[in-house]
Amino acid sequence: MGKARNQFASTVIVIGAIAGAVVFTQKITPGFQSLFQGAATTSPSANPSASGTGSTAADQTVQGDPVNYQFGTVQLEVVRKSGKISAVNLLQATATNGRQGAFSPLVQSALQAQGTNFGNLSGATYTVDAFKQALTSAISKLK
Amino acid sequence: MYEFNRSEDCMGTVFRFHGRSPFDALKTIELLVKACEILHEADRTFSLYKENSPLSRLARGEAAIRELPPVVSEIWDACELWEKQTDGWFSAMSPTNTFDPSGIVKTWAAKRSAEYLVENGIEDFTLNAGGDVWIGEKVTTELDWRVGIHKPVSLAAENAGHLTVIDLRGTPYRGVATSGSAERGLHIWNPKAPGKVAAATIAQVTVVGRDLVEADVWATACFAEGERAIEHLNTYNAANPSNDFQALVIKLNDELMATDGFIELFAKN
Repeated sequence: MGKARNQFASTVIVIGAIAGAVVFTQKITPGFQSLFQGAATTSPSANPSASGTGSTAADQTVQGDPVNYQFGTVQLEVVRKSGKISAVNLLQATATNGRQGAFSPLVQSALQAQGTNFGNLSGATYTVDAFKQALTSAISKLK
Repeated sequence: MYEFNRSEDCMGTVFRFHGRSPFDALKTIELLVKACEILHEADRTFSLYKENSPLSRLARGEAAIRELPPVVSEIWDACELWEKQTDGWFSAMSPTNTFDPSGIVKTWAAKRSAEYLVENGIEDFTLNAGGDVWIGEKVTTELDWRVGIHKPVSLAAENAGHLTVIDLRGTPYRGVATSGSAERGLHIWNPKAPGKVAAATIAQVTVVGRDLVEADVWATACFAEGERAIEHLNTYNAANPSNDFQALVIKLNDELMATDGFIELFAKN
């Protein structure tokens, strides 16, 4: 049963692994300017198990659960050092039946880039309302 | 040196100027206010939400294009060119056949206001036009060269956050534009579909180019074209190596697709 479901949703699961890493890199960043800026340096983590107090969370290495998908298994490790995500490591990324496309260099590079800082965020044109809502939400997460 | 971070509400979204000015606070703010005025002026001219804007009058047939501010025909001509450049996948003619360049007026105005600042001596900054990003030629921080790409969900969504990060230092690209349905729903029409119905075959596309407005044009075109836009752009890029565009498509099932040169843009630690 699980197999059939996985076949259907293989790529969703791979990207799900990426989305999982987002949890570690703080999903919304507190403060007005960090809403646009890469914030791995400034904010407490949104992940309860990794939440620090104040602006620099404790150094930590967290391993995600292995995720099985159609072509193999993916497992990630996220390393946080001095409040920054310093590495997102692929502990396992197997493609058991040899489909390279299943875990492509594209996905791999996108994933590795995710742990780096940035100055601006590009997305679909948000409305003033969405912006304010996100801002309110971010401020409410400040500890 | 004065560091600034100014956000301005305009066109229903937020524009943010962030960077460093060689002038003092007073002079810098004065220039920023004028730069923002360029945005508001474009809004007054092109908004179809404002009943008496020149573009609304044009749409109702109350004014001919030559009677309107010259900037209207300038945009009209540019749109015609972009329609050709994208093989018809970008079109400023709405499903009801009115001229509606709303999709690119935002970046067009952003570019003008950024240029105004550069001409007046502020060169070390970035401008985020509601999710489309312009990077100054002379930005001095590592961070300013890096642009996060948002997941195909709303900024206000519970799971909001960045999907990946690109680094444009050392590349010729200075504009990053993203089109998707996450914020405003299905608002991009497909110029090639019967009745120009809304495009809905991909979740989001991010286009990187030398020019912010052209990146925006291609982002709109790619969203309309869907998955095939990647092949389309690869072909276009082979024929136009000096003005190429790189794109990252997020499909509805969250799978990624990208043009040949995109993978080199991902940020490295």
